[in-house]
Amino acid sequence: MMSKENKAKHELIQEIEELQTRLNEAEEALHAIRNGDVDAIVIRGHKGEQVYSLTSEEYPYRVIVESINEGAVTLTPEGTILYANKRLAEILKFPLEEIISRSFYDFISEKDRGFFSVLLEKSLRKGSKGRITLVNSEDTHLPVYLSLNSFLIDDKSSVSMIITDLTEALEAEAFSDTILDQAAESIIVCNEHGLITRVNSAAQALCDKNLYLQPFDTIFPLTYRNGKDDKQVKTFSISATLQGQTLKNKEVEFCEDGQTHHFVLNAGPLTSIQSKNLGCVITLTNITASKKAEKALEIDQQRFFSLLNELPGYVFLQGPDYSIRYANRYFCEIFGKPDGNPCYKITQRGRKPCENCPAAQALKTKNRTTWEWTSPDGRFYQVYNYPFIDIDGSPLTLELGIDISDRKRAEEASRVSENKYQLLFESLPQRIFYKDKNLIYVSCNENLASDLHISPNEIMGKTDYDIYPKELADTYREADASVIESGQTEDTEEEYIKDGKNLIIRTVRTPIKDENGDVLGILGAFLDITEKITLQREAERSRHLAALGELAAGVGHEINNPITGIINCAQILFNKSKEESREKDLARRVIKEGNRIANIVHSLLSFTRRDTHEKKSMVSIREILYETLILTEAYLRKEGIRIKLDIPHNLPAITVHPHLIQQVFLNVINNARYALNQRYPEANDNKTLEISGEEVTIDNCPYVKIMFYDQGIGIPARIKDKIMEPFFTTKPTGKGTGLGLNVSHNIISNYHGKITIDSKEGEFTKVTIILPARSQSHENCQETETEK
Amino acid sequence: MSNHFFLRLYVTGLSKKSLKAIMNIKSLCEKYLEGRYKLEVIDIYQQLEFSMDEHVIVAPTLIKKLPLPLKKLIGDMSDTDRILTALDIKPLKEKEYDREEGRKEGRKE
Repeated sequence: MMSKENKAKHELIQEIEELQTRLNEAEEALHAIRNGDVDAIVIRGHKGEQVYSLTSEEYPYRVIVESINEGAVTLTPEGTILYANKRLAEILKFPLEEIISRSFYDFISEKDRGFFSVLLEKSLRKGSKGRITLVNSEDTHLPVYLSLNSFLIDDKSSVSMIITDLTEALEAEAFSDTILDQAAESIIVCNEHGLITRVNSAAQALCDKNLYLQPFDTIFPLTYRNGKDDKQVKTFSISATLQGQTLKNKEVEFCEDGQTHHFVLNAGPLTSIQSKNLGCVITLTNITASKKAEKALEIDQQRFFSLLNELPGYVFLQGPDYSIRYANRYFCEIFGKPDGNPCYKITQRGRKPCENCPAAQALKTKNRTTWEWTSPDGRFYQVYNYPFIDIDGSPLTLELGIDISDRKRAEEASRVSENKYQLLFESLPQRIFYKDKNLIYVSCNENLASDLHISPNEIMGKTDYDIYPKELADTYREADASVIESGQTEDTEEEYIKDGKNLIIRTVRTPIKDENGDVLGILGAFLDITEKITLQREAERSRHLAALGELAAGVGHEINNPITGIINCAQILFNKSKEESREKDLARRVIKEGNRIANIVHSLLSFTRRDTHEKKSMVSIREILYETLILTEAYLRKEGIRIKLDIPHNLPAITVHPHLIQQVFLNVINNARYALNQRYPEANDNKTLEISGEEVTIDNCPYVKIMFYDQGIGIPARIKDKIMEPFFTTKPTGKGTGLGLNVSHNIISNYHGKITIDSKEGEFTKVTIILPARSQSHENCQETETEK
Repeated sequence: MSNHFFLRLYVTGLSKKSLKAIMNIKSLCEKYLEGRYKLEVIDIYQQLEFSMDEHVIVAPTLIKKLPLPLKKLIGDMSDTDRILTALDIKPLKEKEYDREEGRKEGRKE
């Protein structure tokens, strides 16, 4: 019982406490109501719970707000949600209780938060509108349209905002958006106030901000110029377009982050079906890349043209009608500006195209042509014509002309100078040759070529072995090699054979070197010095003979006196000796041999008497001949040569210098001796020299003819014409001077005589000497004849 | 979770006291309970069903649901000290009436 009572008591206390609490609550509620601290009271009636607002005049508006299909929100200026309707909760897919008191920013996509703060701030001064993206609890982005307005609650600013979910509307627009987004151009739609209402993705890409309802002119501060070279930059505005003006292909610039973008702008007004002005549509085509390319191309082109202008030659482009389409500066400076005139008019001052125009030829054959042109002002040009196809497919010729006048003149000058050297080369008496370093002939002058009986060109490629006997060639090549080795000019006396004649030449060999000093070849020049050498030798011999003559004369005089004494004594002895006695016979022999000595001495003296002032005298040929024979007798006997004399006693006398004629005879006899000895080194029956004389009459004048006939080696026919030439000899060096017959010829000619030689090689030689038989000249003779 | 606060505020739309209550409680929470509270604001015009469950008869009413014990506060929540005390956020020396307003402090249930 007690426990029951206790229990009841306990329950009672509990109940009282609970009632106390509820009473307190009730009291508090009533207190609050009484004090005006509540707005509404919730009453449970027969229709269920109802809220009774204590200030119910706003009820109709509240119903509108609660039931409209837009989200409705009240915000503090900081963005805290003070009120939100159920529609917003639906849009955001959050329970309504979790929305109120939260910051509205929590539901805005990150990129739009900044823009929203702008809208919010703006709304405090004046209403604002904008489009942003919200993020719902499922992380879905929702495009919404916001309309903000501020109002005061208890003197505090608040912002009411209507949120329109654009998802559905935008889906409808998505199709057209897709199309717009496909466009490479930036497309921007503005409303009648110039605020952006729609942009495609290309336009959005231009600036990374929310463009919706932003003034176009602020978002896109476009500038333009009137013409490319206009320095003045003007600011673009769409105001004109909004008033109905249409813009076509206007070039504008857009600066962003210090970079200039180039656009082509097209803009036109947007009108509704009812012709109401809805704003305008602007398209921007980015031509920055093509501008850049254009600029680069322009620079390239400029570079190209300035290059062409810098060229030290003229360049022009010519069409098939000969008109000059382009000409570089060089061309303009020389020929004047072409101004589209045909080339023949400008360069040739002609009236019609030149015949066989190489430029036209190049165009026709599509092959490059090269030619030389002499301009009317006398300059020479090396001209090249290149055919090519222009961008538009039309054929063109590019002509390039390089002034080569200077080069031409230099060439001309060098040719003249070359000719001069060639002339010098050819006119020098020297034989000149040029051999390469392998001693192969490269060239020679005309003189040498004529010696060799070839033309100068034929020597090329030949060696000395092809031209001279081996021994001679060896000598020459040895000398050449020495020059190549030493690199020094050398001067040598050498033998030379010309037409079978041995000559002595003096050759100067000069090495020709390249810039490195390496020998390239040898330039040789030689001169025939045979005459000089022979004259030197003859002079030597003459001096020798003169000395010998003086000696002989001295000896002759010394012998003459004693021999006279000997002969006189022997005569006395002869006279006083008995007839038939041995003494008489000895004396006679002494006298005879003494006379012989006296004769030899006499002849010797007469030969050595070299007095040119000696007067001509009438002498007998016979005498002179005998005296000559006395001088040669000893040799003839020794060599076994018999003399067969046939000189009539009655030959007429001749008027000569006896010793000169004696010299002639001596020469002839010596030649005959040589020829006989050559043929018959030993004694032989035919080793005979026949000397005969007779008187002949030529043109009624008496002549004495002396013939010397021997059967020696004879004279080869090929040299018969040359034997009279000075210094021609067939005898080995040192055996003859080559002067004998020449001197003889001169002597005989001086006496109006004649010396002829008839010979057959290997058989005989006959020398005939004819001399006038009187002292008078040939003319006198004829006069005498006519007198007769 | 022990010191995690779960508060629920009952308001009636955009009425003055409600708005004040929201702003006040919001700033109070941010100041004293930052990061460790959950605040639900229920507009009883739109979500009447909630108020019935919790015997709310006037608005604005704040109910401290967690930590226990449950506590109800009525008014525009402008008296910060009283609320802090009532919500046991910053306990004062004793349970007593507010000097200025002379209101009773909420009691434990």
